[in-house]
Amino acid sequence: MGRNYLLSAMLAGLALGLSGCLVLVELPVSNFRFDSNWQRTTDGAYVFCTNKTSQMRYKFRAPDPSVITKIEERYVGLASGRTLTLDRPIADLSRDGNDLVFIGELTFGEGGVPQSLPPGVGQQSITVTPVNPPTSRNGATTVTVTVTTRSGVQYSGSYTYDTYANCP
Amino acid sequence: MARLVLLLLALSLASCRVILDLEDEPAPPNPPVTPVRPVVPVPGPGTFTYRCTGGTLVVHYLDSNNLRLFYDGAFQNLSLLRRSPTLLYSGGTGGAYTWEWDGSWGSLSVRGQVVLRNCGL
Repeated sequence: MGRNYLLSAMLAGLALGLSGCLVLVELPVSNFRFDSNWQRTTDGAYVFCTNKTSQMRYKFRAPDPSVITKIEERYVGLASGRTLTLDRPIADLSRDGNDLVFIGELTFGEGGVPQSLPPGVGQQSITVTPVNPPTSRNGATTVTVTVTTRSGVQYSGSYTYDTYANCP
Repeated sequence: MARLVLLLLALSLASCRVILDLEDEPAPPNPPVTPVRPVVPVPGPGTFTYRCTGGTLVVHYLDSNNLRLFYDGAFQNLSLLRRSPTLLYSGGTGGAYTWEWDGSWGSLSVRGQVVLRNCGL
């Protein structure tokens, strides 16, 4: 019995090997990336300018978006100490190949930084502008995106944006 | 009878006199007007995010005399210098920071130069 099993396994392996079949196990959600429309020239980091229109973009690989049940965004303001948590409808994201992409425009003010992130803003494209960092860093916002799939597994990505006043 | 009439007349005249006395009393002089210095209430305690020309500013009012704000990449602690006509706080690294609040609008200065103005809630 054991010998037959071993022989079957070897034959199956040989068949797969000969067929050139490559079995890949892929996560349903992976490769979170973040940027904004302001990029610090000194180190390439993406930042927010509180005196200018600031947009943020995040994307992640999700070949089958039907497995996604929830997308949660969490914003933690360093200067204010406040946390803003919101559920992002998947309809607010657009598809770019195997990626899902969200672009939002930030509003800064009382109640947390940012207050809201209206979806849209010309999905897919934001214009990244190099910015020479002024000395006026007035905070930082850590953005964490957590995606929950049908199986209940959560996948997260995070990025900290320094914020500046008086961007040129 | 005549005495009674005279008495009543005397009494009525007397009461008239009393009334006239009251009417003749001079009006009390107006109290001197003391100019009122504006008092700007100290905000908080609590955290406020101001929108300014030049960006935003987060200010934590710690108590009636101290605040903490975030600028130049660090928290700066300022103390109240003056309560009138505006609240004036000063301090931070090298004593370079000044926050002035008039109850409606504020401004932040660094080394004497205004870096955030027209700050409102």
